[in-house]
Amino acid sequence: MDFISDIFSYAFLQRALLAALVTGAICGIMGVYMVVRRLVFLAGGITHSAFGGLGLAYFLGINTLWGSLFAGLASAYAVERMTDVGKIREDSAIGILWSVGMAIGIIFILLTPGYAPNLMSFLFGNILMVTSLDVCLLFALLVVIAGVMIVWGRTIIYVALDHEFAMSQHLPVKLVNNLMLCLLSLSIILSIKIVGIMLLLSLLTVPASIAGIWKSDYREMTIIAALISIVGLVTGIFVSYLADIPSSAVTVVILVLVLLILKLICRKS
Amino acid sequence: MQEVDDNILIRLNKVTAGYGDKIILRDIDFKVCKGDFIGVIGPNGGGKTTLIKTILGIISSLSGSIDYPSGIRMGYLPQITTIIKDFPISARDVVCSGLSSGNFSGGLMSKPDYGRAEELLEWLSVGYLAKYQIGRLSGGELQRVLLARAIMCDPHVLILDEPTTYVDNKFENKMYEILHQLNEKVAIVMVSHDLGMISRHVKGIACVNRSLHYHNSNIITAHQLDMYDCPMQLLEHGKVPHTVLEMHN
Repeated sequence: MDFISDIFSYAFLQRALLAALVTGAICGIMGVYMVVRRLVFLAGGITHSAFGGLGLAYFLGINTLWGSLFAGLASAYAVERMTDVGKIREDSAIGILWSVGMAIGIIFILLTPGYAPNLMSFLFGNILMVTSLDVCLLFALLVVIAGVMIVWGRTIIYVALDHEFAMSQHLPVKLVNNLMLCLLSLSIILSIKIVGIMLLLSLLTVPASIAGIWKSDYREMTIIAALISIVGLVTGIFVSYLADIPSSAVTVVILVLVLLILKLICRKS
Repeated sequence: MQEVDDNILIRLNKVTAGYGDKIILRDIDFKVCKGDFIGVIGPNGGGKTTLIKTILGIISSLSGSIDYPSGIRMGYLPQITTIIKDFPISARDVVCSGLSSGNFSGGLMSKPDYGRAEELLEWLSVGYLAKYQIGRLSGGELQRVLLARAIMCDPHVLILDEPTTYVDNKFENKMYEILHQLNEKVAIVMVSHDLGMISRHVKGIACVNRSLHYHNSNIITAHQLDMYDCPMQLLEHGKVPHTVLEMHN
């Protein structure tokens, strides 16, 4: 097969597949956490407000990764401050940051002289354009996330399960929540390059939802969700290679189809 | 100078507690000793749950101090659980989460003490629930699982906030039996509206209505109820004198 032989001859394909493996694992682990803690909307807010920082970095001519990294973490922090101190409802705060981020992002991108050819790849990602730096950062993040889960996994699960009871048992609830929010933000920002702002949310939710169909144990769900994300991303690359369509869109459509089919089968049986 | 007493498990000194700038309890002095079985009574909004959450460290006190020996284990059965019902976790694992204040390894690979968790569920006659996902349990079943979670860590103090709200009469009686058994080794603090039950089972009563008054006996007088504005029923069955109280304003 051409695809297999091309993998060996093209470095960008190797990087793309490596990125798919690592991103899939990250999105599987963090996706399950996000879904069970019902942080989907917050994750959407972080994703979209990262676009503001991304646009600013693009305007200033620096690596867009640093811009989105700053904006993503800042927005996660801002949501907490807006709800705690500003007494704004959490979903309202998220909604505000969501659209402000998009607004700032588009203003700066359009202010940048010349044509903005990268706009599509910001919004829909391009796994074929990942750099070695991207892959290294993703891999480092995966190591950190896996390490945190292995060492503190049970604590993290118990805090997520029942925060008040966890407090009564003197578990470091605030620390655990902040740490996980930080890791979720980092996962989102580093994955933007792969699947883009518009499609990232489904890579976090769909595999976790599929895993949830037949697994009711957190750890098993995580492993299955990670495998599903990886398969989805690799299939996306393969189809996009054959048909020359964006791989992220293919991945999302495939994953959602799988979810739909499994749901229908499970309803019948 | 404060007395040093090995028997004291928890001591609250002039504790003021509340939410934000809203003070619910002011200048509370309270102690829980070994072997205690304290019933906490008082009107709605009087601060019973606030008292319990302050003792447990769920809310931090605004002033005053709470002392307890290091390494003390407290079991907790909340009135309204904040547990996420559709969480992918089995009843057995929920019971094991009660171990988190004791000697507990937070690692993902560590094997929790499933044996003890299953024994506890069996003891509460819900052994068959061990592998059920918690979302599948009924209110009463969940309450038993949460009771098992509260006693999983072999606590020094067991704190219960209206434990009989969701359970049927049959289990309610069994629950008091269980509490009596536990009380041989464990100090118990229990919030309840059921004064009949309280007066039959507890050794001391704490009346909480913005402030706290402790009575070292299980007799509830009409005067007490009046003083603390407790709109509660006193119900007894069998050969027990009845008290019918006037309506509160």
